[in-house]
Amino acid sequence: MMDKDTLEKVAQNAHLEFTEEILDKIYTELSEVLDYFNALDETPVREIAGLDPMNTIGNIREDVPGSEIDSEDLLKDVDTYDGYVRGPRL
Amino acid sequence: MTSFKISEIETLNGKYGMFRTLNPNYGKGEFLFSIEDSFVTRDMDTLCGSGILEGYRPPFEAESVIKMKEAGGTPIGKTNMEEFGTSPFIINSRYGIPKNPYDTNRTCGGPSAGAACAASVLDGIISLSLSICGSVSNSAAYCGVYGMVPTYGKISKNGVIDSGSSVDRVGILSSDSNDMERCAKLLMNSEDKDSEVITIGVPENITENVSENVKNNFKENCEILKSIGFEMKTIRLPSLKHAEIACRVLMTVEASTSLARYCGMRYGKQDGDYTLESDEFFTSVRTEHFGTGVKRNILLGTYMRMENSRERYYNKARMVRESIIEEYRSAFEGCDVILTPSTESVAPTDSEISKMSMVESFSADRFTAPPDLAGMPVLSVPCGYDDNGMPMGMLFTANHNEEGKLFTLCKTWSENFDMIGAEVIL
Repeated sequence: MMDKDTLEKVAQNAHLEFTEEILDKIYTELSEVLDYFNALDETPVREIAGLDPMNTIGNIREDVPGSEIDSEDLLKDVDTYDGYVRGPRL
Repeated sequence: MTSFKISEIETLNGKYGMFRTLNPNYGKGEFLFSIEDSFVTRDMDTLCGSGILEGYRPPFEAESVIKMKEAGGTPIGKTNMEEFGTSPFIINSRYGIPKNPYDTNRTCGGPSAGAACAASVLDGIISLSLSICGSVSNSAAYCGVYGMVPTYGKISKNGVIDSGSSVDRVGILSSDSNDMERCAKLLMNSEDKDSEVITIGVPENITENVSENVKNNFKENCEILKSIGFEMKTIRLPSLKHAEIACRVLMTVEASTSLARYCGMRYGKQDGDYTLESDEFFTSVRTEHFGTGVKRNILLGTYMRMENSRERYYNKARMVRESIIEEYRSAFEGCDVILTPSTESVAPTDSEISKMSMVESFSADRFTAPPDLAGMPVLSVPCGYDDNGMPMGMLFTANHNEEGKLFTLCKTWSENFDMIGAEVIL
């Protein structure tokens, strides 16, 4: 079960910051949700056949590599420097 | 063709709040359609109801929008939605909360709220919406319109910003069942003929814990369907009770990864402080611009895919998906379609929603999430009104790629049902 320390680590991993008060509230809410989701424990363990259980082959197009959008169009609203996307210090 | 002056749409939008923005190039066309704010558009910003996408003007257009335009459709505007569609009801939105046209103190749902509201208020238009945990069907029921979601993969999601990529699908809503069918076929690139429906399966005990008015209405409609000539049969779907949970688990986990890209670099609002170290930079942008509901869901999804919990939640949900698909397929050996109510109750009031816990709010998806989890095509039809005049809906589910059966039912039902539109006053 999730404890408060774990939730703080999760928030850090997810790049989100909360006040202590909001995090307490979220902790209570998510604990209730996880209790509810624990009903999945009642279901039998089985093999997972694969990533396409719905068998969508035939409904989706061929995966053909290509670029439909001009890269200049993509970059026109992006903060760039010398053709590179600007980012924070590493 | 349905026609509205832009001034009429502006007035109605002021009253019902279905559109975040209207099309600046609104004009004449062969038909009118609304576009949910999760579909990218060249002429209008695409915000997904989120502050983190504020000002985003995509350089391309969603494939379904292109097809609708090529067929002569004119976009009216972008409809409001729950931020990234991660919660069943719109509670807080910086861009407006759609009001139910049958009672403005009630909800239209969450991810598909604006789309359903637009279809209900603007009689005869088509609304495009992304179905998230069954949102197209439950919003259609809350707003008294038809809603259809074809088999997973049959309508392209190219240019649609989804949350749970393995469960979200494009759907269509309208008060006009014929136009909805025409647009569904257009978007599916399909000339599917209507298929014969003889037997309708109803899962046992399906109306347990359903409100009295929905329960009574459902029973009456089963009798009506029988009198029309359909054979009604009780079926078993034991995994149904876990399927709604599994759908929400998969959507939440997948959303937590798909939303990770919005960090102020390439994706998301680019107003971060470049003097900060990268982790601080990403944290500041995401903390400032994501809403509370989305943040909560990101935490939940991130937790459920951590090494220690992945097996218990994410992988278990995938197992439930395979079980429910098998159960559906087995049920379809004995019936043509499956019938359930669309929702447990009529649209709740804003006051009722404000008192709901997260878990209580999930009940909105009880009947609509399982078919989304399994990728089965669904049709929600308006099927009655309670004592306060609030609409109710029922949901037909067909086997993969058997949309033709839903088209047959849609025609038959619309010929036998007296639809009462919302009293919309200009």
